[in-house]
Amino acid sequence: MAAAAAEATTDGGGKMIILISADGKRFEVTEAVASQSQLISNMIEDDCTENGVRLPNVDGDILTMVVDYCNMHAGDAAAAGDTMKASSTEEELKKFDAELVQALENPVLFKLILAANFLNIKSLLDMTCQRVADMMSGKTPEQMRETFSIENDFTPEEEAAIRQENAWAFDD
Amino acid sequence: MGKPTGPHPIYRRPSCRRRRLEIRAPHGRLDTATPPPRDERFASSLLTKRSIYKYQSTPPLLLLFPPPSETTKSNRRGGSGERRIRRRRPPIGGQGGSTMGGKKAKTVERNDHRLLCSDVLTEVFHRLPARTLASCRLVCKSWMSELTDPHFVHEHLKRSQQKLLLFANDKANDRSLAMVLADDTGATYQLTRPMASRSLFVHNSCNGLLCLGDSTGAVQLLNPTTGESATLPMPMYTAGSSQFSSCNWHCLGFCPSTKEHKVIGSFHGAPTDRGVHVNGAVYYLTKFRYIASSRINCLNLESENFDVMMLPPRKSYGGHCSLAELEGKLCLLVVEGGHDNPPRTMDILMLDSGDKTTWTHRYHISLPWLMPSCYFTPKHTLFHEGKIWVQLLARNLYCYDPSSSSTELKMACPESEFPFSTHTFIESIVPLRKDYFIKQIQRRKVIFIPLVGGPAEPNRGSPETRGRARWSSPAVSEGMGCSISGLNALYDAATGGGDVWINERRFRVLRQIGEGGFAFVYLVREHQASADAARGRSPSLASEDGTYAMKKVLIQSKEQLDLVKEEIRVSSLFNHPNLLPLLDHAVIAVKGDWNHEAYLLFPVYIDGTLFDNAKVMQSRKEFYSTIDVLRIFQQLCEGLKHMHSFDPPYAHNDVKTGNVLITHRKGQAPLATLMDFGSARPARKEIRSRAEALRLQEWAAEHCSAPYRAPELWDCPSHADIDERTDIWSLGCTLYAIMYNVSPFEYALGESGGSLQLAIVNCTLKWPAGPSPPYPDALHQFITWMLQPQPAMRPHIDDIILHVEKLMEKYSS
Repeated sequence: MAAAAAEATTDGGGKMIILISADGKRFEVTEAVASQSQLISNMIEDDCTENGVRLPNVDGDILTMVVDYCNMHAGDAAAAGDTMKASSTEEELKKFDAELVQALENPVLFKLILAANFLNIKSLLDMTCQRVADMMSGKTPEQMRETFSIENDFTPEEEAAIRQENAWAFDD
Repeated sequence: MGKPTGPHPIYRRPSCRRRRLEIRAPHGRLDTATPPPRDERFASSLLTKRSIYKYQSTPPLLLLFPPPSETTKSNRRGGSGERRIRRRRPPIGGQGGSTMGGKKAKTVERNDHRLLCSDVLTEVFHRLPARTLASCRLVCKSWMSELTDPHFVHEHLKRSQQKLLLFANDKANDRSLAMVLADDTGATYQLTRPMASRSLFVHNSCNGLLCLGDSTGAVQLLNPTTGESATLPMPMYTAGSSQFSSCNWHCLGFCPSTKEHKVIGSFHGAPTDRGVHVNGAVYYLTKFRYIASSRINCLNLESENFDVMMLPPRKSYGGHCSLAELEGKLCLLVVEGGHDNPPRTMDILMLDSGDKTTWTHRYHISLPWLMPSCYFTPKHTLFHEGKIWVQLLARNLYCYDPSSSSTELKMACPESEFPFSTHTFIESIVPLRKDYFIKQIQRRKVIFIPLVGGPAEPNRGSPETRGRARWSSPAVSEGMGCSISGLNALYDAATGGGDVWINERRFRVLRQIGEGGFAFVYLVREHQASADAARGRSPSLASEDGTYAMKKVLIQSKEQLDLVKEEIRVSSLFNHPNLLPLLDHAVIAVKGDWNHEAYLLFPVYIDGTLFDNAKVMQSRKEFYSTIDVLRIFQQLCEGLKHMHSFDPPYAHNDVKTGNVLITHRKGQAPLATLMDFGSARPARKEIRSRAEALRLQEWAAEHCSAPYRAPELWDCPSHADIDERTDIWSLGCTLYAIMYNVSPFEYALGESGGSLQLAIVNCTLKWPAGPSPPYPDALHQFITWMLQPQPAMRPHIDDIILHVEKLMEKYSS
């Protein structure tokens, strides 16, 4: 499907780009797939993808996920003209996305967000950030610290000062 | 693992770097931090002045929340573009600590697998509702600093949606309550506080903060999303400006360019409607009996300048009009209908936010039958989600959809057990907490801004004791207020008995003998040494016992300064025994650009004005004798003649009993001295267009006291020649007031539906019961002669002097 997309969209004949992860794994993707990342898209324009693109802060596992995601979504643009295909893929995509994000453990999710941020893939960043936001909403500060393994660096005095009795209090 | 230490070769390509910067712009901070433009010295000097001088009454109070210090933020974040680019690069290989500064870097090293890149964190934060962010701030210090960053706070604010908030005093449970109504995410929550003995109410809401007031006049800010609150310093209410008056309102506003929150308050008794905050400006209506002549006042929160505009012309302003905010623009709501014919329609006009002059008609709404016009006040009408929300009977909230054809009201909220008020509200995390914003709290400034208001018709009870309301030109010659009466000395001379220097002369302040909006009059005594020197230089300018009246004018703008200078210039022109001489003056720059104090030195007339006398005489049912009336009047005419004989002639423009100083002399008629040349201008004006006519009316509304204002200044024709005979009208009114202790048209204010303007324009005179035997009819005819509605028919001052001399001859025996 990715190859088809590449052929359909690029008259350069689906040029392939090699992405190299931090641990040296190589991924061969079409330009159309790779250019969903703004970072790579810019590099393609600047013609500096000849010797493969090194992504020194994306692990192989994470990059696999990113490439999967990009492969799935590369169909988006290509299938836009084909309404039948678009409607079916839309549902599939949603399901794929939901499964991708739901299944993730926190550390992996965070790495995925970092990768999406680094590669600048807006839709993936949106989706993953939203997932984190959903996780956070309605949680107390303690629960959040636990979720994100954050150390409480307020001194007890500071904390007391913050929690100082306000005239106004929330009704529970 | 790639190369953890240095950037990948591709990053060195300038083109890549540029592009990356562009891409990241939406959540990058590309805007340069500008230091707040406000001159702090200006503000702080005013603050000092306030505490020293017990700065009084009429000026509205402005409280400032300066922006959290942007400069330190920008330093921390890296000032140069190069550093910014580096900061935005995500940590490479999980060890990007070297590219990130401070605390965050350490955290990265410790917890490299966690969500710690601040850009990403910001992305997540942006997606969280404000309520969750409020608890996020308590997680750790770096989150706290991220979430109290003004840039983030305001970015987040832009994405927030408007909600409805109910505010109530639950007397049964002795608590005040703020409840945010459910939205599609189902977030209903409420905040309470013990009511203490005072019930709270909401002045307005802005950026997720509520500005609350209570019955003592204190002002409090509350962020119902975070639960933080802050109490503002108690505004300086004084005698003339009761904090309990419904005319007093506060309005919290936000100035987008400086990111400052400001609270303005209106304390003066002018009939103004509650302020409405729209996009960096506070608007309020000054209402007049004749609705179409009401004004919309606008205070720009950044420049703190006032502006005023008329209501847009329309066929009729039937029942009620008020201001409201809709879609970020100022709207004028006009409800047609009066007391007798119930209102059926409401028009909503929207002000163009660009040119600020064009009004567009947005909605024409038929009102449901049970919605009387009295509910369409700013307090009760809200716009939310394209619907109009109205409270009926203070316990029910109804929702009305103007786009639907049905006029049915939907009940939006079940009837509550206690009265509540409804407000539109945006959830925000604008911080108020002291321990994190202690700097801001300490730097909070108190600024007094010029007295504003409309050319209000005087209060019924005391038409002259209230400061004359003015537009943007504050009251330098606030004649009424600062009459040297001695009756008005409610407060001690607030200079604490200190000395004042005017040029080389040194004066000791004895006490305050009068005050106006921006002026104070003190009784001062000159120090002996400097008095001797002064007498040596110019004996005529020294008084025998060394006491003087010193008027001190506080100047806060260039316009005010120009006005004072004009007053000084005009006062120095005249030299006549019946005109109050200006003995000396000094204008002193205090601090800041346009912060001056002017000191004007006058001889002291401790007996006060005719107006003060009239009050006393009225209470005792006393009257001047016919000959005394004529003698006082004749002196006034002589003084005025001096002004009218100038080339070009000057008109005093504010002849009235409050501007005539009187000195009782044994065995003689009292000495009368005309004072206050703050409104005196060259008299002759050729009015050739509607615009000029309106401008004259505006000017007169500011400068000429309403009960004494000539008809042509109320309603000026588009083609007219105005001359000094406007003063003759005022003189006629003054003669009436000398005789009967009230001005001739004031009765109109006491009548229901009466209008001062109508009475004046129609020249309907009534002769009250005077002394017995009554004043001779000749005096009445004399007054009628002066009160010619047609200016061209009115006599000149020379004719009047001839006539008054004849009358004096006749009645002197």
